[in-house]
Amino acid sequence: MILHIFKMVWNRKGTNALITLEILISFLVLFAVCALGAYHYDHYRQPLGYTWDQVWKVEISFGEDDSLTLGALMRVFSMDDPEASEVLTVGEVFERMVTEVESFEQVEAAAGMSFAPYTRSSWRWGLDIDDRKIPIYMQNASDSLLEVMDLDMTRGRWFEETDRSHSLRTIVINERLARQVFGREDPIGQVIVDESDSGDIKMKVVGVIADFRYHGELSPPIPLAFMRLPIAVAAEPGDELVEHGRNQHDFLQALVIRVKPGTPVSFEEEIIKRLHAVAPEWSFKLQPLSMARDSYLRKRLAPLAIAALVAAFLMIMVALGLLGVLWQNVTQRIRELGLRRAKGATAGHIRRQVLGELLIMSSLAMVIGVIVIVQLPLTGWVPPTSARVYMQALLLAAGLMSVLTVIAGLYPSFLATRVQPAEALHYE
Amino acid sequence: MIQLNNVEKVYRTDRIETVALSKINLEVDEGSFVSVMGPSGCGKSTLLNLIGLLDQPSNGSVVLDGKSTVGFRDRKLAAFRNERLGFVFQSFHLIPDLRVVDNVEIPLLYRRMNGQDRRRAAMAALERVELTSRAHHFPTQLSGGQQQRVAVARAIVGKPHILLADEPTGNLDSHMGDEIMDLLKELNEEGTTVVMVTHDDRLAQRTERIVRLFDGRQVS
Amino acid sequence: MLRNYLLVALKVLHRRPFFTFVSLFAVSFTLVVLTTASSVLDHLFGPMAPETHQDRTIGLYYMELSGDDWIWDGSPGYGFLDQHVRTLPDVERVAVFTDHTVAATYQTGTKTELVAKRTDGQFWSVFDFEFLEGRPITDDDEANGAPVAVINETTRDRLFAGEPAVGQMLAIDGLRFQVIGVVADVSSLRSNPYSDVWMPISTFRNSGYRDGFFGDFHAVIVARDAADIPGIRAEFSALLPRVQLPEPEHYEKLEASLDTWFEWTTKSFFSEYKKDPTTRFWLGLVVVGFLFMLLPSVNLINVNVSRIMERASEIGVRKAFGASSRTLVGQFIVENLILTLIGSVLGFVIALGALKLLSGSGLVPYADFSINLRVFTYGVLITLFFGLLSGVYPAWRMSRLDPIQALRGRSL
Repeated sequence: MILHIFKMVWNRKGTNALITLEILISFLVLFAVCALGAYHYDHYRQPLGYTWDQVWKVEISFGEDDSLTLGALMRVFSMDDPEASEVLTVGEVFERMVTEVESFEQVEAAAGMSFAPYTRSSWRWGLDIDDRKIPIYMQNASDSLLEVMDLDMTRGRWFEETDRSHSLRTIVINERLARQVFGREDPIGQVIVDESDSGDIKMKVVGVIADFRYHGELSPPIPLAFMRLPIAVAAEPGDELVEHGRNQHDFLQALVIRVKPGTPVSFEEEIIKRLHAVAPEWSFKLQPLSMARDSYLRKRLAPLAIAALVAAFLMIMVALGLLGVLWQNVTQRIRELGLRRAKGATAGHIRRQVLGELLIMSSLAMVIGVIVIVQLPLTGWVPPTSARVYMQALLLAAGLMSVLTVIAGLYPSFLATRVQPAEALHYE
Repeated sequence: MIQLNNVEKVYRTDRIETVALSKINLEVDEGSFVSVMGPSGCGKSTLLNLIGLLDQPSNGSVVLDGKSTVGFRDRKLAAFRNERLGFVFQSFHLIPDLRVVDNVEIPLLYRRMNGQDRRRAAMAALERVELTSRAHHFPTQLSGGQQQRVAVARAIVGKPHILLADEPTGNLDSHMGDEIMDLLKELNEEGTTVVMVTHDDRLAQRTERIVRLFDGRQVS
Repeated sequence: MLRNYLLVALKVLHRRPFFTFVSLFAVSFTLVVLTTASSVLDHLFGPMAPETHQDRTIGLYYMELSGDDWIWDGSPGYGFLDQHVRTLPDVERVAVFTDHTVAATYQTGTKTELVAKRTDGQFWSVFDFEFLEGRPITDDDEANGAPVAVINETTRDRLFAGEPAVGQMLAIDGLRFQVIGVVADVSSLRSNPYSDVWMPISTFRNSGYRDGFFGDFHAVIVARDAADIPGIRAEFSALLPRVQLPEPEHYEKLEASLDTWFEWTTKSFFSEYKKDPTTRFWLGLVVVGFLFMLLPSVNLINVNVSRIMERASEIGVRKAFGASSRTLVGQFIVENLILTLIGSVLGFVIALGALKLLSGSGLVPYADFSINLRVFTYGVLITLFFGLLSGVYPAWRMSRLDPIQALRGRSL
């Protein structure tokens, strides 16, 4: 039966070629949208690694200077006495800010870090392992970050007061980095070295967290390491102080603050006032993570939503077109169908034949489509995605396309079954 | 009037060559009524198509009104058909979504005529076939016989010299078929040359001359 | 004769409403999408207040410092712009301003997030804002570090309930500013002038920006005449090798170029800052547009071919009665054009609605998308192209229709 239907399709390949082409293009369009969706959804499903609820971030700009290392000195003027001033390290100023913030009743904890969540910035360096170069994303963090962001420790421990060495810095990595750099070995206790011109930096792994996806829920997972930064960096005899420079490791740019539920918006202003009191020359941008997250999601999902909408309309257009074309095909073949009925075909047979021809065409189209799609990653035009996501998108698109073609074919095939043999054969 | 000289029609597909007509020499005088008869597949419809300039012979020539149509391109053939030929088909081939009078007007659309004149000529043709009362109905509202009469009106509206009828009564019962036959005879008496393909012997007997075909050749 | 074609065409379209509907759907949908896209692009790049003399305006938005192992890139700093760009000869004026950032202002328990920008005095002569109240920031304000601010209409509505705002106070980042002017909203797609509130650069809390080689600043240069632009670009390129570089032990070469707004936007789009990607952009646009039209075209072709096949008997009859292939093809093309025309009128109407929706959705703040003459022309051209594309193949099929087969009830 299938072979017979196949022959029918082949013999009318002129007309059918166009239909097949249309299904092919629709399939590719559908796949593109499904792939985009699957790619983003896959990221969304991965654990974030922190809680954003009840957390506020404060992004600090130090005038127009990119970033100050914690060891840099600055003159801080007193708010009460315009003449009085003192010289402190940036780290000491940070320490004061954290203390001031934590003194509020509404604040549960505060911590410093390099980049607060929902930022686009990052800082990375390449680690040479065997013959691969793995990009490692770095963040500095103070001890209280664990509590503020509710990090998920999977192995080892977080930072401790005793991790003070400058020559061997303490780091906590995420599972992804652990896998990529150490494979199945236990990463706890291992040392990673960043070889740079201004001196090697040795880092020891003391713990592993599930993840910390600070670029947002829709961003691809990255290998990440947190380096401990005691906020108050006081020089100790025998320590090698690292130089002030741009690519330096010891800097903080953000504070994250966990507040008690029900804290009002007006409290934001108080925190900023307090921070300005400590460091009048710095600028502070405070935003609850929930708001940052909202605008992040909106920005990222809007183009996706528009693409999906356009694709949906395209599919409706295709379905309608196919419906019309098939309808016309059936009308043209009334004689043939009447003959088949006269020769004993049941309504079911007829319906299956019409649908079957359509499905053969759409299957052919999808096979070609799959071949094209599978070749795509090789051209390099496509961002690296896991094979799993690719497959998911492919299956979803194929499923949707099949549903679409069946729907388009339903009415014409129903029409075909209504043909009475006598009337059809008399049609001439 | 109509002359076929050594006409041959061969159909070629990938591997098979079918000779539909071979060595046809035919002359039809002006004003005559000729039937073409023969069993199925003998080529009578092909013959009619050639006379009707719907097809070109593989060999030989078709001469209408003294003019040879050899080498005529599509436009010239179309103009020729428009001026000198009228067709009546077995399955009427009326356009179902056009009203009767609009159907009849069709040949006039391809001439330079304004709307009023066209309408007038169409109504005149409908009067000739006694169907003015149905001028604004749709073909599906008419009986088979009436539809064929409309088709005849359409065929004569342009006042062609030659009328070609391909099994005009094939889809009609004997009573309606006779009506159509009467109509064709009347038109013939008024001067139109009629060539009719039929397998109804009774009807053929009412014509002046019968051309019989068998396997693509003339047998009488 | 044309009138005849028209009448017949309208009748035909009326006869098979489903096919007509599908065709109209395809054409109008394609047009809606393409018109919307054109409108957005026009809104992004076309001449529009307050950027009124784009043909003689270029800007510095990006620089790159490179050495053997090191690369430092970003937007220029105030120091660099003050020293090297403000001093360029033969220009009409130079504006220096920051990139926009988000700032918060707190008022009796409510927080309002505003887009904020700091500008010099020249900024207000380079861009042609529509003032609803008050005055712009002047060079004097900038020189004195006056704590003044200009706000836009929406900000006036949000903070001061739409009441006259000049003279009112506004607190941002712990500093207090006095409102001196209110301007009409500027679309967020016009990144250079766009903001909710503008303040003098010198009101930064920290004056560290003054010496910055890199920073968060841009400069916009207005030439006296469009013909001067190449000369200005050449002058700028010539001075680059002479600039004293920061950290000369790491960096040896400075690369930067003065770009038009269009060049800069396409560069950032491709993240390719050194080569001129404008041709690539146009090409990409045409290709994407074409690819988008592909599916509707194939759809229309299928529908048209079906329509022709469905009328095979009619075509056979017409041919028998004297219609030449050319006549029939002509008739078909007229039908197709009418369909495309109606579809495009529909498309324009729907597009207007869609653009209104888009403007109102707040996805792009302060954007007021519309169909102006330029966009309309693109739409018409696209329609014509589209109509042709989807009509050629079916017309060819129609001309090849064998009347004999058609009259027998079967067609090709």
